[in-house]
Amino acid sequence: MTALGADAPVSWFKDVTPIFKRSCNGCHNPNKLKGEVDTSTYLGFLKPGKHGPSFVAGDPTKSLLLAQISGKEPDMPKEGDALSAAEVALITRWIQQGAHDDTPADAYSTKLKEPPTYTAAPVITSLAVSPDGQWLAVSGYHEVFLFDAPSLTLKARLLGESPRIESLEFTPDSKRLAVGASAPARFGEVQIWDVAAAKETGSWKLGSDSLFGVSWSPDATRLAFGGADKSVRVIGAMDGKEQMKFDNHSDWVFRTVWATDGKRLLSGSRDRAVKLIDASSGQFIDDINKLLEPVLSLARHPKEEWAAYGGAEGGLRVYKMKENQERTAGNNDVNLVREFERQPGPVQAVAFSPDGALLAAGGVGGEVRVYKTADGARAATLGGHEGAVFALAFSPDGKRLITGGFDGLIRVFDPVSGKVTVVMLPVTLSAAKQVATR
Amino acid sequence: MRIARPFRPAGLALLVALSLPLVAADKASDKVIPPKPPLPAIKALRLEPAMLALDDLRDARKVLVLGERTDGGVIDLTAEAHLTPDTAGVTVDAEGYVAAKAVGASTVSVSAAGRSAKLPVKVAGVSDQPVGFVREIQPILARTGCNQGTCHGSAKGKNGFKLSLRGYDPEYDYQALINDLSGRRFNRVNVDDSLMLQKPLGEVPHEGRQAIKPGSRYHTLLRQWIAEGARFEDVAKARATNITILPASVEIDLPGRQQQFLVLASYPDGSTRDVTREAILSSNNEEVALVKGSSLTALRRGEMAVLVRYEGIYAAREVVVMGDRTGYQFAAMPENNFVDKHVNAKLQRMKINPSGLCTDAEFVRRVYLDLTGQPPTSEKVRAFLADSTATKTKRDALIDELIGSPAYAEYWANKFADLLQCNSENLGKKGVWVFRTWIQEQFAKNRPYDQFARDLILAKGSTFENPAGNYLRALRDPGKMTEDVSQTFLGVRFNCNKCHDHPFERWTQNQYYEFGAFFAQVAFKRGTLGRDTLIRGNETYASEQVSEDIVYQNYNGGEVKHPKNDKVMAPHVPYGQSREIAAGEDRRAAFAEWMTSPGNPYFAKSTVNRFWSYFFGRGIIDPVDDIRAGNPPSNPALLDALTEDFVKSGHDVRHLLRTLCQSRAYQLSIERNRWNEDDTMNFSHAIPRRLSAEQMLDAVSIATGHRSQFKDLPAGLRAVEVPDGMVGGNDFLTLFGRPKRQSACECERSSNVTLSHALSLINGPTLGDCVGSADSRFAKLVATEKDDRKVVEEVYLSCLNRPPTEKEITGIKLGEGDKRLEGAQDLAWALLNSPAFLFNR
Repeated sequence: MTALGADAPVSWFKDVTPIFKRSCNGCHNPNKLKGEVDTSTYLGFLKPGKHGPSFVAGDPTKSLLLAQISGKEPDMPKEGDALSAAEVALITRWIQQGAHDDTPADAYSTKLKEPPTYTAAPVITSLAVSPDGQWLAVSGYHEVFLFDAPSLTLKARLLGESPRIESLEFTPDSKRLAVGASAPARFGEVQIWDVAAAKETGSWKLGSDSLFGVSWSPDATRLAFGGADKSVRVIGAMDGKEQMKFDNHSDWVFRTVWATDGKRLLSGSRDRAVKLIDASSGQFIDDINKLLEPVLSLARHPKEEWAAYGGAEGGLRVYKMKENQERTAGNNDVNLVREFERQPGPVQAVAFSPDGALLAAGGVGGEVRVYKTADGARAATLGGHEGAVFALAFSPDGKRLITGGFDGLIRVFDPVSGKVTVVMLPVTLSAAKQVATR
Repeated sequence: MRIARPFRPAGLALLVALSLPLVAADKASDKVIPPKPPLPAIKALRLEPAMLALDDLRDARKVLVLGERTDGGVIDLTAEAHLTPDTAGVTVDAEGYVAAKAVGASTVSVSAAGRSAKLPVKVAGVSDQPVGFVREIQPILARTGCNQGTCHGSAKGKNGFKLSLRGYDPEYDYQALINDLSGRRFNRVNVDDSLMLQKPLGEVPHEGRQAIKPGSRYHTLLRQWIAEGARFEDVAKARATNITILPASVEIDLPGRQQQFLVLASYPDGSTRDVTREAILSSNNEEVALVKGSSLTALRRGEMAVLVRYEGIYAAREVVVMGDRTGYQFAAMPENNFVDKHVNAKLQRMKINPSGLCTDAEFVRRVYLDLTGQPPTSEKVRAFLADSTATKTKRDALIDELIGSPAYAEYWANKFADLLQCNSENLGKKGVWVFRTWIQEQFAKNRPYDQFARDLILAKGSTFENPAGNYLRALRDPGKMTEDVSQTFLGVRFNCNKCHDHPFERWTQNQYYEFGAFFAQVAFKRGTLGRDTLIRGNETYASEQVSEDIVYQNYNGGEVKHPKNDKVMAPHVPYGQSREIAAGEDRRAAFAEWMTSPGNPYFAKSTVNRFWSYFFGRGIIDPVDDIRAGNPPSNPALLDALTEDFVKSGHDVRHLLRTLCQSRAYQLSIERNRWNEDDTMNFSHAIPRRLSAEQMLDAVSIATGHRSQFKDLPAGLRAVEVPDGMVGGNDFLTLFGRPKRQSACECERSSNVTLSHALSLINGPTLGDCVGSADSRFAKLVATEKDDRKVVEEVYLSCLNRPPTEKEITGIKLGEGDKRLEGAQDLAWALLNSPAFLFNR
């Protein structure tokens, strides 16, 4: 807080918002909206709350805010120390002076003007190989690295608004790339990129937290994704308009996959359910699985109507994508096709090989295990990762399995022999800055 | 007839007595902080520690500045002391923390209360070490409350982010911060973008508000840790192994004074850190002193402990607030045995004087109730009072007479049937009889307590033929066996750590399952004896309630698995060492040997402490079944001496009880004096204790000569002989707190006093029936005894176990003719409603 004379101008952005951040925004933010009041932005604060406008510009005596925060035992904040007399005086003066908004235009923007330079490798959260085998997309910070897949040469950096990339998927024709992204605890975003032109053709910001598990409908006209708001949404790929919203999950939704006919959709959530949903009406059809552990990863079998999911307790299972109506007291897990050995830690990524013969799983345990789908036998173990594995992708010919995770390195394995053929960073690092101390 | 009785003030004595402590409690909870007393004259400063050694840039430390008073004693001056570095080699910040700047020897000048001192500081290094997750980040998560039970430490976490409760599982917490949701919470490319900074700083909405101030030391450390690559450490090397609290002893002279504490953590490599700012300090008695941050403020005279927890380590520092004792002179009580020596020593230290000896009438009632669970008859009281032998001799003789009497065994069997959970829901109708009978036999033959415990833990075979097996049968599974065996026989609570490390003690979740592994192979199967057929409605089925169980060792399996990773847990004792288990051997044998061995620091100690509480109204450690660092004994020397004596006697319960009853401390009056009126924990006077439900009913029987009948049980049974905790049809026992016997906790039995108790005694059928029954003592008495004085005397002796005073005799008019019986009954009813009856005093 700047030292101020009695009539020096008070800044909303520099003087008032730090106080609100400390004492108010925990409850009065767009997600919680206690008393229907939002103190986190000027625009939010302008909206009247349950008991009327929070302030009247120029008139401290009519400003509800001041009645709440001043006095011997102020009503607000509900928890924590009361505002100091100096802070109350400051806010009073801000109102007296007209309660002006001086929020800089870019105050809440996360846009970068140019691609970032890296002093540390970004964690790889997502990987995708285009169905034609030409492109490899790798998550970065604020951007997606687009590689020529056969040669692994970097072709483009797709710079977007969101700092964090959550998921990547190419259209079946390999021409477009969907990016699920977010600024955690601020907003989620879906971006569509024209791959050949390396150009963003659409981007839509949604909600107040992350979106997860973007997936294309088989005809590439729609996109499905889950979110921290516990919803599953379908939007049009051209206009971004919401076509369906599903609110039947009771916790964050991390993954979506479409059935081959494009009519139905699966969603996997921390609430332990893999739900089968009518993609057009949003009608809930059934939980296909027995609710055993939070669902972290989900992949559809390329030929069968099967889906594999990995769980937070290390479970790895393949299920039929259909109603669960035949369950009985004796067998309440009728859709289970196969349960694999328990993985060493939460399973963050699963992928079927393009012919469906292999199922790969990776996660916090740090190794990727490749299984034969037919009998569940382990075919290969891919090691060498320093820390967790968060992303997996097979090349369309099934000869390469690409992994990424905590250590930020792209690794290419032969999924049959388990041998690693390439280990590389997606981007060149610049010399590390001096780390701040004390 | 009772119900129509007009309202009488005597019946309300209890209500009046009840309301008094409530008023007192209200007054005390205001917590008005007394004004700071003036500083006494100081002759010199003393620094604790006397010097500092700093190892690296972040190794900042503080010293306590203590003033040595000219009149003796020590006073804390840390808050008002000024510290100035003498060289550029060290810095001192506003909080008084001394930090290193250059390698070498430095000094800091300290001044306070007009005195000064030098603090030598040796700086061994000034390197900026990488920030350690376990060593430095985890303590921040605890101190700021991130991992507390109401926030991310709750079983379900908060808003999708879960940490282990109070950080007991560093690996889990690291995974949650780094790997959960594919690294959502940290960002090493742009460190300030990390959600684990943005949330606690309030940069993005955070329900837990701004937990860390921007630019603070915690912000800087978290930031540096992420920037350095968010590395994990070897937990075994990085986690603190011990904490030391400074100062070593604290006696505060007057309320209003403050005392600063320092907490030092030591690590496996021998290094130490000042962790005062991250340690969590609290007061175990906020009536005596408040603790805020690491500073204590004394509120009133008394004893309390400052409890300190730091990263799964628990310690306590006892504090005495002496208050103004001007004019005190120690007047020791005569020492009947070693108990009195230790009680005297503590009283002298606390400047307390003991009460006088209780009267013979008080003693005879007290010792009867405590040893046999029922008061003496009027004949016994008369004989004891008339006996002109020297007081101590005749009291000792009475103690000897009662210990080992049939009533003694009946009473103690009832007590232990509670702890061993003898109820028909667990054991069936026959089960409760055989088990209770077995327990009574053990007290009748004075089975040494360690052997008694081993019999229970090791029992095998039919629960009808070997009734000791009913104990494990009642507990049923290894989890409950772990929790109840530890609470009953070790006085230690092992239940919080079923789901996470114990939040108030060092016990870990692993230890819970390792303990349980000793019982993993205890199995039960239905026997053939006593199978019964029950018909309920139209269905006939074999009752499982009444048949025997066979307890056996399942050699083919039975393991306890850790719920986190399904790992089979090998049996391990939580402290000390148990012997090897031979192949195929029953695991319980090694456990029972360890548990009852003289070297086990909890077994004998918790036992003597528990028995002590039955005679003195409060444990030396209290509650008796919650022994832990945060619950220190009020008189450690006394507890140790009793423990040693008990072990030496061969765990002889009668010897222990004789020692307790013969002590002068046990025989003190409830009347207090100027120097012990505020004592609640040093046994300087007797504490009035409400009679237990069974004691009360048996006392009513003895007073009135009329026994209540229990449903489905033989006539003439004492209340303490009712074998089943689930006994129905007697609201009186339930109302007065008889436990159902479903828990190992002493707290299952209630001894409180409420309005419903008072109303039951005034108007309830139990007391009314006994007093008014045709076969009561009073009917016979009035019929045969024509002298009203003698009638009144007999009623007093029967109900209160003392003769009436002359004033009482002359003040009571029984009435004439038909009214005489009613008058005697009225008198008995009034006496039975008085505190003198309801309390053992």
